[in-house]
Amino acid sequence: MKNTFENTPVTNESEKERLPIQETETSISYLGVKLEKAKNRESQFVPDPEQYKDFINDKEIALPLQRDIAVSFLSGDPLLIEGGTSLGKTTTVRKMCAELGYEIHYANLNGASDVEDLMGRYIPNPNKRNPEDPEYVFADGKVTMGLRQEEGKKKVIILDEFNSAAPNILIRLHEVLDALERGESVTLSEDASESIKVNKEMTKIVALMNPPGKGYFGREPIDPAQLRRWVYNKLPSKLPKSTFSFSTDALFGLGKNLENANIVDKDYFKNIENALTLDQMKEIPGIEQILEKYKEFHSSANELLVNRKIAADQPQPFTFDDRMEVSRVRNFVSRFYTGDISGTFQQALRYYYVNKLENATDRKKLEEIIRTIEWKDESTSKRKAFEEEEEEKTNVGKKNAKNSTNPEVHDVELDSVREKIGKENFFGPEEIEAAFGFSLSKSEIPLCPYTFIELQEAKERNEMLILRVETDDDGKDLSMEHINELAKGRVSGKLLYDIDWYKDESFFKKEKPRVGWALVSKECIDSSLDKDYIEQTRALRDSLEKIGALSDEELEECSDEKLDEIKKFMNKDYDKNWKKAAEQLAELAINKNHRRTPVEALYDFILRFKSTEERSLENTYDWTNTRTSDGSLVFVGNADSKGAYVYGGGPRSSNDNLGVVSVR
Amino acid sequence: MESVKTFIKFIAVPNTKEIGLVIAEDAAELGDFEKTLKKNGFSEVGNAKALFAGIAQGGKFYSVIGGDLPKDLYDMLAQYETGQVELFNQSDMTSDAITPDYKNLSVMFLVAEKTFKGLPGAQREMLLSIGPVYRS
Repeated sequence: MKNTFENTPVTNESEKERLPIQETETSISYLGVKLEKAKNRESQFVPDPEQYKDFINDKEIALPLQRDIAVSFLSGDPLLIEGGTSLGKTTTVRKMCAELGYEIHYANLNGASDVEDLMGRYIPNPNKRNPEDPEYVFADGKVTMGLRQEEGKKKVIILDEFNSAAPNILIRLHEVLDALERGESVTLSEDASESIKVNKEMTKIVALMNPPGKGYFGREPIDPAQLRRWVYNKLPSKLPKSTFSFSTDALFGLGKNLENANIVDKDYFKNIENALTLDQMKEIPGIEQILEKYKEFHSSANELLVNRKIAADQPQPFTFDDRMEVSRVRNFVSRFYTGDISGTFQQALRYYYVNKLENATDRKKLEEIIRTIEWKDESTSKRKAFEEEEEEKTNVGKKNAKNSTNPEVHDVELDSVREKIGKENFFGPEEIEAAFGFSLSKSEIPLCPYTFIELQEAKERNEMLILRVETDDDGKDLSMEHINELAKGRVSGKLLYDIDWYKDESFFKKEKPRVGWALVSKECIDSSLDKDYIEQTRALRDSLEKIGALSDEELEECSDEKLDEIKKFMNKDYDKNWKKAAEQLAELAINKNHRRTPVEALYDFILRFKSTEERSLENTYDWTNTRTSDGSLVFVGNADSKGAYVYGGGPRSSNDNLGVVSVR
Repeated sequence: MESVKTFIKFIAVPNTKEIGLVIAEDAAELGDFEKTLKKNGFSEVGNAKALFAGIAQGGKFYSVIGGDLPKDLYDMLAQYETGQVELFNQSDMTSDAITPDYKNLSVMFLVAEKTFKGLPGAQREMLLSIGPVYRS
């Protein structure tokens, strides 16, 4: 191994301490260990240095760790780092690679059982064009990608959660390590025809692991025969008490001689919008007293863990890290302090300590200690300013909520939604374009309000998800009349059979679809067929109530009692009362919200037909919630190749092909 | 400070580098939490590929852990706060890496208590990588 300090340009000890990391155009020195930067850093696998601006280069762990990693990179020896769960091991390696321009190839071995994912396998040839092209080609795995040498590039393979690896994976990885050590080739037993020439100057391997021990799931101590292949670095998970106290104070801007703490995270506060600064934090009334109590809490929580008084039944060995948990609590306080320091601390400790415990009794134990972290606020002088900042934070939140219409989000959402409801049941922007010939701008597409569970249930209920818009790209309303025009040349035959009787009706000329996503049954609800409008409403209610799709108000308004009242009124003198009854029924929230309008029935029909060539309502009619000018209720259907029929009827009508399509 | 809305507010603060976890008492409460998230501008992502695309583009996302925490989703969770996320596609053996723009990202996992307790031990180790945890 080279003397790793000999190349450093640092000339004396004080200078070295002042500038632990020194960078030139071509190299970086970590506590005196100098590494050359990669000549070619153009790759998606090279981390972005901007991400690590708030990295804390503390002298207790972060700097020595970087030095040790640098030594490993320089010597080419594989490095195995063992340390507590939240010491930032992976982040530290990535941060150095970002600075050095090295590629990272990451493999997490927890739960991995397939050697071929790491070493490569045969896959169907994605570039097969001709019969003579091979059916299958060999494709690299995560590790082999990192072993391949490329001009000017340096690559680091991270093997995360190394001691969770299955034995067959460990054996294969050790073959790779042996080949690297000897400067030989790795023979791909997965592809007998090939071997990869490896070079430890170009490829570095870093394995990371949490400590093994009682209670660890699937983690075993590495056996000595395996350990000899690695340079083994065990990080401390506990700081000495005095150091812990000092660093905790420093993180909150308290204590003396902070400039010697090497906690250079002031950038953190610059990067966090609306966070309190260190100067503001140390002015928080009661901060010093609360911090002392917090230190006691942290120590007590760890005592309980070590003695297996809490988290004994959890699969992983839990530790509350002396640095990271404190740092997280500090960040929480800096963002969420609103005048109640006790409450703010207590909430942070619930998020980061208590709620990570699986057992309710364990949580209760910590909760009891948390209650002691209290400070009586006798001064309110600082509150106002901080409350004003909190208001600003709220406004930022609101602004971000608006950003949820960020157009590019929708692609992600829509892909997932389409997958859940099923492609054949999804009618979104592309289907609108296919049906009507115009495209939507991203900002016109609302977020889908349904959860994946609801979408899966909808698929089982034979429902389709439809995006409805109200205008075309010229801003013209999508009335039935306009849809009928747009359909000419797009639908073979007629969309509407005979429009003569209703061509001047408002529902034909003016009404447009309600904007948004809707889950619509593909056909009439079975139980609604051959029933009058009131009984249909009952069937619709029962169908939607079963799946919790009705609000309390909607349910109350269409109770049996209320529907019977309308029926009684209607039948008392049908000729006289049917129009009033039709009006009352159309006004019921369940019918307004969960039946379609005639234009929606037509809109849904053409969207589905153009995309799937399936006809909705081919032999049935959907009774809508809309009345004609003479007061009858419109139904649409029998949509065969001659076109859809539209009629109106009184609420007492019924027919075995007349039902209701549900909307929710 | 006690409600899930407060927790969402915390997670949604720009530059939060950690993925949050909400453990709901049961499926009904999980559904309520989902609705709250949606009202707060979160979109649901169903798998690691969708979450990866979301992280690449920015926004607020949540994923419901059903009967299992897929390996690729676990891997993304483990990497999220490290400044770079790599996703390996097993079917075509390709890898992609992205740099999360934490200023424009909020990510949350949701799980019902019973489901969480039923996860294999290796998957429950997600608690080691997760940031803040909310329980009702």
